Amino acid sequence: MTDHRDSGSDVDGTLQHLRLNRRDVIRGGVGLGLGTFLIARGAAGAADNVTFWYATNPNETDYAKAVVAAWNKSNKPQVNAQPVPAGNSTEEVVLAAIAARTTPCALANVAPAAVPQFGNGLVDLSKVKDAESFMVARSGKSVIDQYRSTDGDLYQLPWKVNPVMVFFNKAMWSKAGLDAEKPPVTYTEALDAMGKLKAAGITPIEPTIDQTWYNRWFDWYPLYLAAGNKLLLDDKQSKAIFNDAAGKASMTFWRDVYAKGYAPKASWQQNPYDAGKVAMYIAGPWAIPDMEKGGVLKDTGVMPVWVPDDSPVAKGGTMPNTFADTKNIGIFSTCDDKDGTWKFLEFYVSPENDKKFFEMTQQIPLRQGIDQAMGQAFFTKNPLLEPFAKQAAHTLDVDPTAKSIDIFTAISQAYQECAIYSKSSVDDALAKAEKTVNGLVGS
Amino acid sequence: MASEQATPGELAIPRRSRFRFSTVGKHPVGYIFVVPYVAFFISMIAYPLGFAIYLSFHQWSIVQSDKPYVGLDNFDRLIHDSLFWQSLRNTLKFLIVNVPVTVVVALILAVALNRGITGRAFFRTAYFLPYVTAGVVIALIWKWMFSTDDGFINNALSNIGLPRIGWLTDPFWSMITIALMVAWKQMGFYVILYLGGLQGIPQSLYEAAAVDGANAFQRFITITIPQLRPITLLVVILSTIVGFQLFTEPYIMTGGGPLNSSLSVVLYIYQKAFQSLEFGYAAAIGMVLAAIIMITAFIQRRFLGESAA
Repeated sequence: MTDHRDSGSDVDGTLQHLRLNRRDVIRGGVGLGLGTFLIARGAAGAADNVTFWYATNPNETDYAKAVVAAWNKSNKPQVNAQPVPAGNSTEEVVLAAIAARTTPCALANVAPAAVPQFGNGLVDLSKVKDAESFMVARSGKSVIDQYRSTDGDLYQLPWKVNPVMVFFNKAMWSKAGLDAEKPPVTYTEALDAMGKLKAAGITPIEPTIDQTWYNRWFDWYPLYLAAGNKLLLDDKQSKAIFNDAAGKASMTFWRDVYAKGYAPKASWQQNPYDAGKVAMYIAGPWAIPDMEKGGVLKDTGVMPVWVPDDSPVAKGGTMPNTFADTKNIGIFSTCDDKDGTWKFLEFYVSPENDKKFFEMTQQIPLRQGIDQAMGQAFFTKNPLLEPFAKQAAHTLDVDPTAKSIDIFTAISQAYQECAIYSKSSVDDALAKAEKTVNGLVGS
Repeated sequence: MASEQATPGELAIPRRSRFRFSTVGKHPVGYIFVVPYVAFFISMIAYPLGFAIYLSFHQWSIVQSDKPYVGLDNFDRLIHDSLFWQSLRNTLKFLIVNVPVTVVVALILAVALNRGITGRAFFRTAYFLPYVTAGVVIALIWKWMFSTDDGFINNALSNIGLPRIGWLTDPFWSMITIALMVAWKQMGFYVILYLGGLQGIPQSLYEAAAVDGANAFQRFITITIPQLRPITLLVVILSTIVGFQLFTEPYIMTGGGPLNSSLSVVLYIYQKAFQSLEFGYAAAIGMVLAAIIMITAFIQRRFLGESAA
């Protein structure tokens, strides 16, 4: 019979080698202690730094790098700046970061629509010393009040506005026999212009048909705001109000655009306007640098979004409202140094840096008197920015509701169904979206 | 001492040591080798699974402190959620296209690569390369290739006088396009599985069939396919499971559109969790999806497995 102890002798011998003597234990203990100390010291050192995320737009990246470098030269806390990690949208990236508790200290790309969703993930800036007075002094009380949450406090630093307007290619316009100095104002005029462009062999417009919720900010929503001068929900944020004349008129306009073949059903990778393939493009001033790179900026003009034929705007003398596409800055509650981060943000949006921001990114800081601060020479050098600066006073944003993304998802469904694919009537699609939204907001 | 004497067939181990051995075994150091997997299993499988089950019975949001227990409400809502059923139909449409294409093309490619063709090593590597390339990168490249206006495929069609197709913008084509693209991406892995199976088929079977006068096609039908049936079962089950987990491609290429025609179940779970912040409902959908996958795999094994036996 085999002796188990004998058969296991090889294993036991191996284990013998694993036994530790006192010296090994002391060495291990010292090593472990030293390692722990170094890790703890590293963590303490890291607490002196704050992390800052900015938008991936190349011009904003250049601006963020320049300002952060200037801050880090002689200020604390030191700021580690990096672009928002890749994702479908900043909002989704931040929500994933909140779930994983990997949010930065501050984020400079917060859409007001997302603020209620982030909930207690954001710091109440009204409770940070002198923050609210700083914001009011910079942007004015009326502007700041637009960004208060339902509890009356501010969870975002209102930063910049990107009024959505219609860019158009004047050379294509002329080729189609259109007067570039008299761009269309009403839906009928716009459809007529598109008809002439199409007849001249030019694709009039090509908004992306992608159903992701925020794409409706650049086709249906600005026209709805221009037609109705109101947001999607009532003042109590408890009922949808978009299934009305303004909602139907703007939706019918887009249905006509697709039905008449003025816009292809396309989801593009490279912006066709920048490539000189289409005559019009709906966007904010952030699109201008790419037009310059694409070589179409010299031929580009800009006009306000179109309005229904019976709109008071059609009689002239005033600008229609449009989507503000505001982006703000928030501090996350996971941040260890909220006061230090706020000091950095004060620097980030200082008068000098706001001017630098406008120059570098062609986006409009929400600062009182920024037009005068920039001077006429700036607008002479950048003529397309002047209408955007004027339009900035005629903007509306989105409802301050945590369901904003779901609401625009419902709108996007309706838009695809009735405007792009003509699978249902405008009335049916909007009624369905209204029912969905009322279900979301609880009425 | 009598108490320390070993009985026949038992090791002569002192009492204190016997207690220790019965608790931790003869070689406790073995636990050190087991710990990494146990830690991985607990942290990456058992805990998330348990937490997902917990979530599915709660109204749970990462940004709200109130997370009430809601019983079966999430499952009841799911039954009446038309978008969930549409995402399930879309996923089935994906499987109907993807799985047969995967099985047939992988088998044909494996048979071709198993022969002494020139550049065999190159082709084996080429077919495997997409499988090991990041899904996001591949999805972005194919999104451009399938672009309606300026995509490579439509440009090629246009050059030979054919109409442009809305590969990703036509509700009919969107899921079919994604299914074909994913079949291409996964193909290399299944080709390798089939190659392994082909090399296990005894050569004597082919020789005997040749002596009996069977031509190449007859040998393929009567020997290769039956002999590869266990591999085919594996390919069908694995590609079905991968198909049910479809996420990256529709997320990157279509966002689930147009008209939700490429909304997969997992993409819907993601949207409910990270857009609507309804983690409890998303977890409930996940539970149902897991059950569907298990039942499908069981049925496949039951039917294909029996015929493979």
